Amino acid sequence: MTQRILLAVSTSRYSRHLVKTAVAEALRIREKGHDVRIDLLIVAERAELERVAQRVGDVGFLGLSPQKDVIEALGAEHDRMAHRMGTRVAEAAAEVGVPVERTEVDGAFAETVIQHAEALQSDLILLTRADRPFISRILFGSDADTVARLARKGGLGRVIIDE
Amino acid sequence: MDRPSPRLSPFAFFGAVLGPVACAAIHLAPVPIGLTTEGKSALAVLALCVVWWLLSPVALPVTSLVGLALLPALGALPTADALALFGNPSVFFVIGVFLVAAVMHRTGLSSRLTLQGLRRAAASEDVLCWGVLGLSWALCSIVVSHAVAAIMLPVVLQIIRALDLGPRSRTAKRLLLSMAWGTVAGSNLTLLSSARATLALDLYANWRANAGLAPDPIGFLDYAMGAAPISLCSMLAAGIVLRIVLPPEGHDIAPAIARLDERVKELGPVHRREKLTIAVIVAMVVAMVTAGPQWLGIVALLASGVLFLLQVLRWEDAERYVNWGVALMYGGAIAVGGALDRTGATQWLAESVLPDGLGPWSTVALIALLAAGLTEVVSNAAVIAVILPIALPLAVTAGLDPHLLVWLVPLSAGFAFVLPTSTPAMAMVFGTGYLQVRHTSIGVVITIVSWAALLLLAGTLWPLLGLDVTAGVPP
Repeated sequence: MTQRILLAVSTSRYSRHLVKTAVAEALRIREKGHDVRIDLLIVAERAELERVAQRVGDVGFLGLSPQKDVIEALGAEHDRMAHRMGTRVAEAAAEVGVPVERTEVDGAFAETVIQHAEALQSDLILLTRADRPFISRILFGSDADTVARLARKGGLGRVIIDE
Repeated sequence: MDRPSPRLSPFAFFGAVLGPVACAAIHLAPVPIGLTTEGKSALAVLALCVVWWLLSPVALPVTSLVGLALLPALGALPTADALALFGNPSVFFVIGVFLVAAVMHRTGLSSRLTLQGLRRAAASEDVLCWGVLGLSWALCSIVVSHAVAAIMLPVVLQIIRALDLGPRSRTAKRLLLSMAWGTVAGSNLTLLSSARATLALDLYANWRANAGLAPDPIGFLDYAMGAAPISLCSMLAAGIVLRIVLPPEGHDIAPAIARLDERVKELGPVHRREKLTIAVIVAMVVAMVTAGPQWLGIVALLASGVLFLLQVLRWEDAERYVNWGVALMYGGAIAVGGALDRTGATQWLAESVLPDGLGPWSTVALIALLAAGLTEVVSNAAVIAVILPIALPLAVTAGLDPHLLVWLVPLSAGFAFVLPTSTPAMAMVFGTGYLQVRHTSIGVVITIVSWAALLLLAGTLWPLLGLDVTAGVPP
């Protein structure tokens, strides 16, 4: 039976170490005699871009045209980052012969990851934190911690937060 | 444009409740000794505005409008007086400033200046980063800083794309922070760089009028001479700190040069509308420098009128490029500040709530620190509207010439180098996903250096310009 690793990333939640960890976990599963595949989930979080543009309008008092320019510029950069992350993961996985299925979705990070983990029946959910201090995570919460909590609650696969 | 769900965040919801509760609590409380009933009502309105400006349950201009409406509703001022405060000269100057930014954007002149400036600076990776910083800073001398950030962001991202930099690249982070901090430092350059200095000028003029003092006109050049050296120090501090913390990675910048060349070529020869825009803006700046301070708003409006007449700017452009809430925000903020003065609420606050025995230098340091701290979480215009009316009588009590506060408060409120919430430029660069929370600590260093530079120049350069911290309150 094929074991599925859900590798969840976004522009601010990505690291080379995470990719190495994903490949290492895939190899470990294969060593146990199982087939393995990586489901790469790239979460776009376009609502965040909208919020930035809204701030440009609300606090910077610029009109809709400059706000649109800002969204387009940030959107294009996020698309490039998504492509780059997809390529990096595919290359690293290809080196050890692990298949990768790539999906790109717009949505809130934690909710999107949990929805996909349920739909794909992932055995392992692998993610990293956006680089935030401990105090900030305590005060404002953390998407990585939310994923771990919801996965535990929903009886989903094991979660590894790559620090 | 579609917007995210209007559901309030927990902070905004808290603010929506806390604002009216604080306002009602102050309004219903007994009148303290030394404060009038009208003054207490004005403080109640201020409490609501501070909470709402801080936690943003509604847009900033809405808070200003609600504040304006509450002034007569709670008995702080008669309706006619409150509304008269709204129609002050700085609102019209701000309208002119934003129309200038709109025409620069619309004609493509700002893109041309940016691209050609960066093309000239593109000698090496290090020089390119300094170029982004310097150009962002310099453009703010004639274009409002938020607009400069919106103009620079796509260009900087194109350079990052051309160099194929990844999310962990030091160079990408340095380019983005150079852009953001260049505009933050540049927002302190002249009266055209941001609207907050104009707001300070107006609040100061209102305070003098209410105190029965003769007018103390401060001109375009007067302001720039006191402010620009501090702005320059902030910009240089940002450049040096970035050079140390994020040193060059040794990229070949040929692809970036090629991309800039391509973009410059796409723009074609300088268009007639760009030439007309340059001519009108140069004439406007000359008129602002030579005419008296009372003409600043009129000059800005006349220049805008000429741009419309020459068909360089159309009304549709003005609607597309400017959020007209800006006029409501500034008008309302000045009305609330004016009401605090007129009712004696600020005098009471300065005398009874704030610490005794503050000397001129400790007052300067405290006000600057407070403004710089507050600006990280509140719109810098709101910082001026909240701090300046209270700081003016406080300065008199501490033996400090209140004239200095016209520079001190807006400059300190411009040190927004740390959090993504501080200015749109910071929100934009953090929105790219390249920067993490730990990068805010670099901003703290630049804020401290800027604050120290402000105090140092206030003690050394300002006396040469007639701004002497130790001279005491003029009779």
